[in-house]
Amino acid sequence: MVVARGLTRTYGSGPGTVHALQDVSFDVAPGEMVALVGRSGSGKTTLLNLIGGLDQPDSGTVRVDGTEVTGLDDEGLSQLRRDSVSYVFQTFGLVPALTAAENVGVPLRLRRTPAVEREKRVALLLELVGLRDHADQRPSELSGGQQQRVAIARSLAGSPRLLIADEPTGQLDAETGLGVMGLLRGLVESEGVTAVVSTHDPVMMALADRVLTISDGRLT
Amino acid sequence: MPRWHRPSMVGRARAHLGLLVLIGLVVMLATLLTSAIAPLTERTADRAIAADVRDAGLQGAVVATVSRPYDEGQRIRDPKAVAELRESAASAQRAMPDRLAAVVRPGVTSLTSPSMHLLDAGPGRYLRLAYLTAPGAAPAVTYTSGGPPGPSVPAAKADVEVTVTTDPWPVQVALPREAADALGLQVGDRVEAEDEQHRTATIVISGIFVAGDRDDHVWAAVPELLHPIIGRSDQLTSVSAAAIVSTDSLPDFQLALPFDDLTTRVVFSPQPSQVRWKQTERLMQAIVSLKTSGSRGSSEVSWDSLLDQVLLDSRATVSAAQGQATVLIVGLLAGVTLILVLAADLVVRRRSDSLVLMRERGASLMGIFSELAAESVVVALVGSALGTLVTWLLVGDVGWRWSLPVLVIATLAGPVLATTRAARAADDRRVPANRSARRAVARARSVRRLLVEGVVLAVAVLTYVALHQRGVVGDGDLTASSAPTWFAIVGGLLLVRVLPPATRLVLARARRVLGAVPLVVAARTSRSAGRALPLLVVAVTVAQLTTAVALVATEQHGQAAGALQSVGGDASWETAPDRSVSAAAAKVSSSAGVRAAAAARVVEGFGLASGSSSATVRLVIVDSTAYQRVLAASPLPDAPQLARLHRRADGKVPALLLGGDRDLRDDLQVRWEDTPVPLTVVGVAPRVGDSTEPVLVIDRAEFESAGVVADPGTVWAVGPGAAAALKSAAGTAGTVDVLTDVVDARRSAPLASGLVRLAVASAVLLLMFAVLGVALAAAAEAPVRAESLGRLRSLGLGRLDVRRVLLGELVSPVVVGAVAGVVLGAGAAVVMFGSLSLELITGQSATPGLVVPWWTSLTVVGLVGTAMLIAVAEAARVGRLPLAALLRGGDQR
Ligand SMILES: Nc1ncnc2c1ncn2[C@@H]1O[C@H](COP(=O)(O)OP(=O)(O)O)[C@@H](O)[C@H]1O
Ligand SMILES: [Mg+2]
Repeated sequence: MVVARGLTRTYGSGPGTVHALQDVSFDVAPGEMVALVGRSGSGKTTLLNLIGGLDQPDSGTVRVDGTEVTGLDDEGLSQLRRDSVSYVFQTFGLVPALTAAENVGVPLRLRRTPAVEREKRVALLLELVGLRDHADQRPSELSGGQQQRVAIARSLAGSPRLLIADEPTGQLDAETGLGVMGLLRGLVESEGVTAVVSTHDPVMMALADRVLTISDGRLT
Repeated sequence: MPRWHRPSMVGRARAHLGLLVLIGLVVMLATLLTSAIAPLTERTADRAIAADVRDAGLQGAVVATVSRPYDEGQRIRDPKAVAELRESAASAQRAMPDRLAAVVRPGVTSLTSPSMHLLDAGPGRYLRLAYLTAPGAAPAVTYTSGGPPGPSVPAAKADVEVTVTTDPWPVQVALPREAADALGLQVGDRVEAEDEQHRTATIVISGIFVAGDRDDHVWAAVPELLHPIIGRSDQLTSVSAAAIVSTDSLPDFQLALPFDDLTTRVVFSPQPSQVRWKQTERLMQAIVSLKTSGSRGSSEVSWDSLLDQVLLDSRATVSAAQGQATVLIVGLLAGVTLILVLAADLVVRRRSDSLVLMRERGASLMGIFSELAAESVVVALVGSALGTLVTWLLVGDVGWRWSLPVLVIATLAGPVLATTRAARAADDRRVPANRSARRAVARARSVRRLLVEGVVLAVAVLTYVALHQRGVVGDGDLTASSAPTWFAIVGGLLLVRVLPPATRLVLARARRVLGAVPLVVAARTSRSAGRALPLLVVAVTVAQLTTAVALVATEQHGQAAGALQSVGGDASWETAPDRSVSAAAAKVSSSAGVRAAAAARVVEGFGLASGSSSATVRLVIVDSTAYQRVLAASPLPDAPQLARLHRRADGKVPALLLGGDRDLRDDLQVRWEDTPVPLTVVGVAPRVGDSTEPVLVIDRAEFESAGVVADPGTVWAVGPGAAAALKSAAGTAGTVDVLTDVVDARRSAPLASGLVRLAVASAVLLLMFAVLGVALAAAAEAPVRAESLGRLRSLGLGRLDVRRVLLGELVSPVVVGAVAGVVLGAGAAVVMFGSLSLELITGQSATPGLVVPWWTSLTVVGLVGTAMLIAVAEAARVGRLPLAALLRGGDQR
């Protein structure tokens, strides 16, 4: 599903140059859930951004589901995000003006899913993440864990092939984080999605099919 | 005094230098205009007063009438008469208060006879004799025949007192050329003249002269000297002229006429350019007390003048103009205030984090306030100093009154908002956790808001009532003058109230749409709909702008309409009534470029009586068919009812009557040169001329068939060639008024043109502020929007959709605000223009019809265009931002 080859990314130039990623290559099989582990600053976010097309590498290529992400233009990337790749961010990334249900519905609207079908799927996903009673609340009216659960529901709404989650529990307390991780694992399995999840958390590592460890921009 | 941390103050200022410069610029522009207002309005008022005094002419003169001691029938020719006369003039001059003396010319002393009937020169010939003397050189004259009047005694006896026994005693006089021509007199003629009591005097014409300078104010003391009055009533022509007596013939003058026929007057004609607006009140007092001083004691000088009335009328007009100017200024200041607050709000938003940080580090609110106040004082002072400097360079003078508020607002807005924000930041952490407590906080907030709205509404109602009751007078009455602005503010607040529910409705619809863009736009718009400030800025500035434009348009339109009403066509000719005028009108109507012309006899203040009522009307005896054509050809209202004037009923002459009470319509009759003519009212008359007097219109032919003669003296003509045709028909007789000249004169009058300039300047500033308001409001929310859009892009929202979201989000509130502004501005005009005394500036007898030019709605287009440009630019910027950085930015929060 994901084929990364020789990814290199440096920030800045001159003496302040940061080699955030150096010659990273790996594959992820369809349906696999991979945990990306490393200390803070090791390059996890950088790597995930490159896979998801949020950032371009200095050299190297990424193919997702056969599409070369690194060669896509703006419109191609938008389409990729609409159709195949979705994200879960550490800070949830919900749209504050929209309710929980509306947030979950956005990917479906972008894919122009008919309204009836859309509402059904939104209700189902909210049910799955246990927020049926919070559908009409805005993010500011939800707790952190609830927000992240909305974000997970949203990331799965458009039935993506690949889900990228960058420290999804980073902002949550341990107990809530545990719940969210269990949820993520379960949904990834039931929806048949490939997932790459960066984390510090040993529990997440245990839940993953495979663990990739990164340190100083290199996979070890 | 809290300690200031200088490096962080400098750092903060530097970080937001652009915005601070912008605020300084707004202050500068606002000060530039507001500091010029006081000196310019005063100058305009001075020019307006001067123009009114000039237009009043001799009516504005102050006249002292000196009574002479009666000397008992002694028939002595006294050469010292001149000295006596000068002495009485000097005493009048002394009695005049300095304040008044400063604005009038030195008095022209005259000794005049009444207008006396010349017995030998044919019927209807009248002559007044006058001796004129004034300080300085006598006005130059050139004798075309004969010479100046000499004494009626041999030269040897001229300088001594001579007892006279001959009766009547002759007096030599010199005639101005105009008088000699009009009376048909020649040098050497000796004519008998008779006063009203049939006492005769003998007048000898010594010479005929031409005045060197016809405009010399000395001549104005006896107007008929250079302008003989020629009156034609039907068959009879009467001439009233005047002759001058010289110093040599003055002693004879006093002997030739009965003592009580002679009047000594000192005429002080005003110097319009010396009259200042500021002194008018004291001047009026001085005149009034002078006038009463004569009647009080047994003083030998009595005073008379209409100058106080002229000044009073002029002050009323100036006051009205100043009131209207104040309306414009208050509107401008409201715009300035809102834009300054909006800019300060933006600065505070940008500093929000650092303010919270300062607070967390233990800075006191007072400390925060003072640090920020130090900064805003500098910005405000620099802006205001620059503005004042430019004004001073351009105008040569500055006024503080209206620029001080700008300075104060610019200084306080930033620190106050920042301190409130910092205080809130501390409170925010104490937001109560449980629901009911949170609700209590929300309720307290909404009560506070209601209170503010209630106060604004109360103030608005108060100002409206004040405006309705006393109108706008002068520039001191802020209560009444601020009514239109409060109207707009209340409207704006109402809009802020109505908008959230309205956007919720839109949101409900947007939910049902398939795509994401409408939903996002509606949701975000609905969230920001409650933000009062940006909406208020756009609505209120556009409203003020609309009101300013409507004021100018209404006045300009009123000036044109009033001029048309008073001229009666494209041109009119006013002359002495004469049979020939009718033929002249016929000829004019067939001239090239003339569409229609009509002749009429117009009598102002004609006394009219019916069986049970009476009234003073404007009587118009007109060739009604021609007049109907004139009205049809001109923009004046048509009057098909004029056709009814030909339908004679039971021997009565048909008439049209406008105004007057109902009883006037029964058994109406006019008395025309002692012949009663019964009339029957067959309809409503068109308004002829610009006055509130009732108008009575009769057809001339019908009228004359009742056995009277009414020669026309007025011709109205319509068409591009009307002025030229009337001028050539008129020759030197009478006066021709040309519509375009009258319109120009009204528009270029000091007050009218001053108001236009002020309105244009403030409209331009307000437009700039509105544009700036749109930009600042957009900038305030830009970071939040960028974040939301970044999140949406991570979900696959494409470039075009990003632009659509931004267009929808930025344009819709501007459309709403600007349209509301136009509606509110026009609404204020509809509701309040009736109380602004606009007719005093347009010169009409009634309030001019409201004109709101269609192109004020272009401000909506302009502002929407601005918002669109901003949206497109922002879309491009958001598109360029790397998503990774955008989302990472969120990560680090
Ligand atoms: N925009 C950037 N500019 C400069 N350096 C960056 C930027 N983003 C990340 N880095 C650096 O790259 C390295 C890897 O960062 P990141 O991928 O965020 O690590 P992680 O997600 O594992 O904490 C770090 O040293 C970080 O400081
Ligand atoms: Mg990271």
